[in-house]
Amino acid sequence: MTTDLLLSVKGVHKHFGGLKALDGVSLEVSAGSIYGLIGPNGSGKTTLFNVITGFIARDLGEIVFQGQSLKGLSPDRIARLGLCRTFQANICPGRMTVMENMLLAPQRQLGESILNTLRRFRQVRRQEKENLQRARYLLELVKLGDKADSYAAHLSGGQKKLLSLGQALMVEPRLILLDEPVAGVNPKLIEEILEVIRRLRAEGQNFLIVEHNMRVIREVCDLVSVLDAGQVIAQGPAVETLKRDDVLRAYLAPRGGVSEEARAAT
Amino acid sequence: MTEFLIYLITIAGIWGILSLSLNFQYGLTGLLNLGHVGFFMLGAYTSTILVVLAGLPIIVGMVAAVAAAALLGMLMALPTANLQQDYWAISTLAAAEIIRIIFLNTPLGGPYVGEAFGVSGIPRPLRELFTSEGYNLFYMWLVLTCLVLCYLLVVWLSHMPFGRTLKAIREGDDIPLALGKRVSSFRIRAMMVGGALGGFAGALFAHYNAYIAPEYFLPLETFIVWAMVILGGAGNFLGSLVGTFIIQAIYNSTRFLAGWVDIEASVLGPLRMIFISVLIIAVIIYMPKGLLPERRRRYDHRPTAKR
Repeated sequence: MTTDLLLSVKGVHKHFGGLKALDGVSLEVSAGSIYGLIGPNGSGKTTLFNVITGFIARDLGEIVFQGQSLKGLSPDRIARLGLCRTFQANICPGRMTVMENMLLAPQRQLGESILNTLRRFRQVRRQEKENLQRARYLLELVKLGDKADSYAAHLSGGQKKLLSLGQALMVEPRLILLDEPVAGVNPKLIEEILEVIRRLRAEGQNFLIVEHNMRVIREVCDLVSVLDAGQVIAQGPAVETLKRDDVLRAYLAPRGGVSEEARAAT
Repeated sequence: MTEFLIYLITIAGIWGILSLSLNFQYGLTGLLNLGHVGFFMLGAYTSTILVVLAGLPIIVGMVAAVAAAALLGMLMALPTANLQQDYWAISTLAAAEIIRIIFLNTPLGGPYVGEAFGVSGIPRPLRELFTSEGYNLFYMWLVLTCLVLCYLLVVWLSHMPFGRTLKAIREGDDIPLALGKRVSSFRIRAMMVGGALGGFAGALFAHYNAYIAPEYFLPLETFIVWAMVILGGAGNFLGSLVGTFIIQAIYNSTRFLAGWVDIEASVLGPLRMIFISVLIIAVIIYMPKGLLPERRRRYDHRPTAKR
């Protein structure tokens, strides 16, 4: 594993009125690793994603991606820097087909300029062909090969998650932020998603994953941060960190000790 | 009867361009533009002012009409580009009214020119080459040619990556933003394209009707164009044309219905609006996607592909 620093979050605060959604969060994601972010509901994971990707402005703190401060940048600008996110909710445009969704994602599409569609039509068409090829390859990879012409709205919840992943891969970003990639997905499909993520990691794709499924975190993540009430309460290698008592307490037994079932469940 | 048909096709052709452009903004991009008549009016007045008052050639007037309406589209979109849909509805409605009220209160020339009097005597292109009946036929073909060109343009753009991104924006900003699209720039450009076509329709109307006045450009006109888009099918450009023809046929039916049915013309006028309203309500309830629903863009031609 290299120690090439990709994303660094330092002392980030975000308050919604009196609620401290993020209360001084810091973490560092290096290239060549899959980073997990876990924590109970309402601990600030999605807020952190929103703050990193510019969908919500932070109150305090510093976020640097590949040496560039993300301060004040719009979400689309941050995406163009190579930091792409998926959403927890399935919000891929449902009245577009799976293939249209995939073709939406590539960056620097010449055909997004009206003038180019007339003046540089050949290049636009060639680019479109290349993107189509890559989209076909990626759809096979995320097990949606036979769904290219289905409307995204007709996919199952799990398939929509896979589509979001495929879309993110079309962007060819340096780092992908996955927000609960297996929530609501059936166990068989979870295995397939994990396999895809592992394979992509081997090809050099970096991930930061928010997930509730402990098994998933343990199986694919190298490092994890545990958030609770807007603060990082533990950080370190995935397997060891998930065994710590304070982590289990925050996660599974907020009001009492850690029960035997809870231990077994993890 | 032939004369009436030529008139109907000409008018339907002009309004067809109008409904294509609204469909581009609403059907494709999801922009709730309730001020579409503003583009139409600005196009009509720009060309009229340049040709009648400044004495420029008609072609210059028409090009300027297109440019002015595109500029208006940009101006309307600039402050609202990041707003939610509902605010678009209000701000576009207001913008169109502002334009109408400006022209209603601006004297453009000597007595009886501009303000509520409107402008008359607008020259018609190539009029001297035809007889009176022949000219109407010529203008019908001119309008139809323009309509076909506009149709090809919007279909073309909707098939390009540009149109694809507009289609994504229709269902919310988050995904396009997360994929690095400058959403406000796309909205502004969609308003400019739709505006330009609306302005073009306005210029065609002015030089056909030879007379324009602010009373032609009431908000009701926008809603009639909406009825055309909803009836034909939002997102389907051919549908817009079908919807336009049906609504215009109903709207202009009084002319020959008056001789057939024993209803006073003063009753028949409002009656057709009631009929159009009932038709739209029925379409929304029973055919919410319109007569011709949006078509699916297929990439995968394998016969096994499901759905």
